[in-house]
Amino acid sequence: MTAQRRLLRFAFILLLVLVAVALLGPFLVARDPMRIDLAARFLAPLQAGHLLGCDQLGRDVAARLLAGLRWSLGIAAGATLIAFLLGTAIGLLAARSRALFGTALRQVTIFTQSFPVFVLAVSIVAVIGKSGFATLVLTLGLVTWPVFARVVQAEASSLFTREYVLAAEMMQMGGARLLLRHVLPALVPSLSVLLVFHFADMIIAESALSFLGIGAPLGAATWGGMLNESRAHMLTAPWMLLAPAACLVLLVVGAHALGQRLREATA
Amino acid sequence: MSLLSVEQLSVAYGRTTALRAASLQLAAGEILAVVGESGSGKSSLARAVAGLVKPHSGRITLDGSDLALRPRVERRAIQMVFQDPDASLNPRHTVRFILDEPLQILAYGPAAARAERIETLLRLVQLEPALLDRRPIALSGGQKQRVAIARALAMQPRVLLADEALSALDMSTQSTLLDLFASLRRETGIAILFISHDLAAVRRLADRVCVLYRGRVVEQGDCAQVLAAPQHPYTKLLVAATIDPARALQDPAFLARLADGVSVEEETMQ
Amino acid sequence: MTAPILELQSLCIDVVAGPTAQRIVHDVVLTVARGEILGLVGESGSGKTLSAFAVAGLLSERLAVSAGEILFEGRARSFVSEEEMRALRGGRIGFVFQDPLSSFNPVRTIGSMLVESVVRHQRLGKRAARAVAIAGLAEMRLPGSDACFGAYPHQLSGGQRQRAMLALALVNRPSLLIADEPTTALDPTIQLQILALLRRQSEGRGSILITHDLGVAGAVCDRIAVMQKGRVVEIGPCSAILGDPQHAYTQRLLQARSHA
Repeated sequence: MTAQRRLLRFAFILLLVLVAVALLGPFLVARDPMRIDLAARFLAPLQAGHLLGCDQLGRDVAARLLAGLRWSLGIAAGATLIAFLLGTAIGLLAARSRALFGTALRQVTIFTQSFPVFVLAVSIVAVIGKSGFATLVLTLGLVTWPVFARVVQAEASSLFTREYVLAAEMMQMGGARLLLRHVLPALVPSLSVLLVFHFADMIIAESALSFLGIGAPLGAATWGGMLNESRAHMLTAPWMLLAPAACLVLLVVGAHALGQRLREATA
Repeated sequence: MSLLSVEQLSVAYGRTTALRAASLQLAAGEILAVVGESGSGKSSLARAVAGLVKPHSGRITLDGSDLALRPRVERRAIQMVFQDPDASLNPRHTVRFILDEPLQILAYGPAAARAERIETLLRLVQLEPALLDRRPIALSGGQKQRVAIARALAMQPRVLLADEALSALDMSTQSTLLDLFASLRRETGIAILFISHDLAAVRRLADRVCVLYRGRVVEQGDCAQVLAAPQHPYTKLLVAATIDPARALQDPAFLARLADGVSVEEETMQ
Repeated sequence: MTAPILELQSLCIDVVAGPTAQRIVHDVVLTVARGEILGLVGESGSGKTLSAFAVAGLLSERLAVSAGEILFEGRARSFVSEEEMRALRGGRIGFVFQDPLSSFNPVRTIGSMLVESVVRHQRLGKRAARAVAIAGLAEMRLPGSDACFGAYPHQLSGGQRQRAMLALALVNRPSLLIADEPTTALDPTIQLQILALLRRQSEGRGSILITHDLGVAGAVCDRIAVMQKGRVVEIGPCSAILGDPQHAYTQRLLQARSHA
């Protein structure tokens, strides 16, 4: 039990460190992640000032890792925020108008649950044909909002039949006040847990997309892209694989640990 | 003229009709009890009068004007106390906040005036001011119901709906809350629609009683009169069951009919 | 005077889970005569249900009869094997529980449960058992007994379920019926109907009605035993207990009930 707790704490601190590193990134590593230096191809770690070595084009792995971290966190944060705002708003509306809209939303969430979200995102990005930060954020956000909508609809529906909410309605208090004072505070525990887990899911989704070469501009530093490029040189230059893989695992585990702690704290 | 008038009110959920053309009148300062078993339409009546469900047909008038045609704020004149004390109060708020919120909504006045009003409300429901900073979890069931009553009174209603407000409480707490309802009527002149399945409580509190059975009003009248000489078979059975079951079972003919489960409809047909 | 159906002689029940046994029912002395309904009245934790469970051999593994004797139809419990006890339960001893929905098997029809019980205890063929089962339902005045035969527990109303429960308890004509809070979950008018049925079915057998409500006990019982903290604090004819209670606890129970 205590060992598990220590592990969770470690993962949580790690997540904080990673976020801090992402924010301070440009000040920590001055190298340009895009700069090609054919003389430094496959340079092993700790040589010529390259902390984590270089890749097949002589680009600095540490600098690319940092750029990829910023990219990942940015996409995940943006997509989570969009899914959260959209899903919460739609879930609340559906809970309020139980009859038609509520049923429609349930159908939508069932559809998105049975349909692989990832495939949907891939096809949307492919169809749009434009790569870039905004496209990815919007696509992932617009595809995954039903996760939030479903939870909010379920919890808010039961909340709207709660006697204290009925009493508030009988006072004819304004909708905004009802929402802010009585409905949203009751949703905070489950929403905060969901936010963190969704954030982790978005990091994985983004890495998977960039692994397939979708979404990020050509040559941009992404963890998925780095993993993909490393495959051919797995045996000769293992640092190209290990660095992004380890970071991805740590980031996702850290986020899950945070979610777990929140869930325990609110239970 | 009566203060609250329910005319031919029907409530339906999908295909099931919970309340069929029920009519009743509540005069100012009166306590009218609505009795019936579970599924009789009591709660549907309460919720329709409270404006929480939309009636299928019929009207609810307050001072002669149809509530459905008036601005919604006029419904503030009707407030409700619910059955479940644990769900009636927002667990996140203190008693002070719970009582202050309706006063803010009414724009009752500056903080000092509201604090004074909260003290008055506490006195009305016989609660100690020391409870003001507690949250519902730190209150007993009876105290929670008193706070819920105070919150309802804060809106300065003319009609108080009590929907099985006592049935989740233990016997001695029920008794003191019955006294509280009686004293509230005396002190504030509020009219109370007291919904209950407990005839013993009804007999002690109400002026008039209205009996619901399968969504219909089957009997209505002066409380003492109805309980002393019930007319409808269901009311007879209810009076026998709650007031003196031992005597009912000593009558061999009644015992036989009960044991055979002769339903009230069958008797009504005869 | 004929011998009582059931006799509890200084019955004691212990919790035997921990290192030291803890007594929770102390020296309960009771008799139930043929044709009589005995009310066991008390609040939760008073030992009323445990005493009755001990009679039917339904105590959980953590509990044990540690002293005293249970005489059922003149035979001492100590000499009844577990196998014989199983035959007694549902056969010579019928049991009715508070919540029929959770004590019925939800995926079986009322009829199939009745038939199984008749086949096991009366050693009849399927067809004969079916006739007995339908007659049993009719005797409990279940409206449309044929329809109830094929119905699942959740398809019946609360009152009907309790009638079906009684049918199941009485179908093998037991000499002792134990009803544990049989009307607590019901509306007052339905409650009265079930009590009337219980009264009528009490002829020719002994009955125990377990309830927390002195009013319910007073309505149908011949004698009442009031239990508190594992002891019988007062026992006597119904009229004496209700009209002139001696023990302070009984007086308190009565007062709580007649608040109106």
